[in-house]
Amino acid sequence: MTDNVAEMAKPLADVPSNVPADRVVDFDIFNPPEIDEIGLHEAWVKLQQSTPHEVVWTPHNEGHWIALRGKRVRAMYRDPDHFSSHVIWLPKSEGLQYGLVPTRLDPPQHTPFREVLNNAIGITVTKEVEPIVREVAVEIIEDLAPRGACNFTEDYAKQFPVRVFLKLLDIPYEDVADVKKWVDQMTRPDGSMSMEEVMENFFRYVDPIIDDRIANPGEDLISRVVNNDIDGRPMTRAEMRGLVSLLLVAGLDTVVNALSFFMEFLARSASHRHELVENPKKIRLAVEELFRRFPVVAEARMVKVDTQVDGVTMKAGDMVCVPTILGGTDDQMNKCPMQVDFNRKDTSHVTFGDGPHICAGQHFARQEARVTIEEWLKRIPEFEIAPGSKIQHKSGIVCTVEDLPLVWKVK
Amino acid sequence: MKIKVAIPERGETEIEARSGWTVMEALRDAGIPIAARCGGGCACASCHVHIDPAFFGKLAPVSEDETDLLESSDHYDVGASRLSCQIICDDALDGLALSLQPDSLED
Ligand code: HEM
Ligand code: FES
Repeated sequence: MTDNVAEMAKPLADVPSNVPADRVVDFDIFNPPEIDEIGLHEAWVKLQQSTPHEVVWTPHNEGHWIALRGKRVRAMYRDPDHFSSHVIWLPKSEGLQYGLVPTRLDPPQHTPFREVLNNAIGITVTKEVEPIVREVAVEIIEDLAPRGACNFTEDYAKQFPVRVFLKLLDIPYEDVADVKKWVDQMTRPDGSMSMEEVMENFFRYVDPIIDDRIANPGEDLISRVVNNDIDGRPMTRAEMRGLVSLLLVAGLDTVVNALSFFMEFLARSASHRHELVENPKKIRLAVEELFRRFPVVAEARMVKVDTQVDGVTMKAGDMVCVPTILGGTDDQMNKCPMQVDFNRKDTSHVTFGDGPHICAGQHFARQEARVTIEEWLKRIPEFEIAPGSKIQHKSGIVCTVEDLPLVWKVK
Repeated sequence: MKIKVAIPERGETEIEARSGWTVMEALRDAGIPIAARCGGGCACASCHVHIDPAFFGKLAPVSEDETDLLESSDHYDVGASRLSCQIICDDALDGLALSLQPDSLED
């Protein structure tokens, strides 16, 4: 917890006049109270259950609202006229600086870019590329199975989506180290390079590939992105680079951590494992249940015009955290929400957001998770958390499982 | 393309939809009160619609997963029911007429 010293030293924002005193909570989305003791989702749900209100305000991270109920979060995601994507990360001063096209655009500017993303990674493509995804999963798991132990986050979760992407982009496997280095810097900058340098290096690498795919279009992901137009005009180079980078980074950290939460749960629950080993057909809906119970994203919206919500006035420019973490885990959305029930009916969640920006890769993400669990359980049906290890969660824009040491008996 | 939407007890309306989006997304973004509780994952059935017979046969075939979910609905009609999150808008479907079902209304 040493790296939190700087965090704690940050000044708290003053409570603005539009925030009633009974709405003020002491909650840092990057370090929720008790996360180390009770776990990520439990720490957020504790905030939700601590108040009758649907929206509260915290002075941490420059001061912002937090929507606490799943239905409220969904309604905000569906209402870009009041809750804009102009800033989607907290704190606001940082959210104003970063963000790839079109994540920070509202409709109608967002719409044509979103169509390119849909064509590149939507339902249709997802179905087509399933064999590639499976091949990569099998490759990694067959390599791990005889070892009897692994750190799941490092040895599977961080390897799998990058390798899948290289294949989808049709980039030679030798390049994996380079690509992974830039991607790591984009998603988890360690300060060794500035963001500009990272992007410059990455663009220097993808530009010739983009040129090639314009000249010789194929079935790969880059071809599917760059050979499109935007409302009838050709795409600019900056837009092509942006969309390719977005596809790379949006589908990595999220998948890494969702898979890690899922495997942490399965490692701890023999009965849920057995249910799936005995009936692999259940895995598809089981994955949905796991996405419901273990959402990992906590982003924000910027209030566009003064808006009344749950008895308070949010002012234009105010930030609202719209945590997907409090969707499926909300007892007003699902009965006994903290319980994992693979036979649950009427599952409701906002794990992939909602509205116009709903995750463009949601079908692909579900497939990556399903294929992982299918192929893993075939080869490693029994596994547990390495005895004596304590699993740490971290909260953030994308919440993480720090390390996940697993052990199993080798056949 | 245009979609004609009938909503139980609330009448009919017509919306504009762009190809490449799912029908559920087109309904949602036009402000139609569709529940779509799983966000389009073919996992909740709360985007269930009945498709007008003139269009039903023009849609891409139903997957096994979709049928499984539809069959669990009280309003399942084998000749009309689809999950709107599994239909992709396409100009060939211009004029698509559908009706929301009680299980797909936002609560
Ligand atoms: C566990 C997996 C994933 C989760 C939980 C997740 C979650 C999300 C969420 C909550 C958003 C909404 C952002 C917003 O409204 O501002 C989003 C957007 C997005 N996601 Fe995912 N995602 C996942 C996997 C993926 C994958 C695998 C891809 C790509 C293949 C992907 C690509 C995208 C893109 C491109 C956007 C931006 C869409 C837009 O702004 O229109 N995601 N994701
Ligand atoms: S939105 Fe859940 S099945 Fe269509």
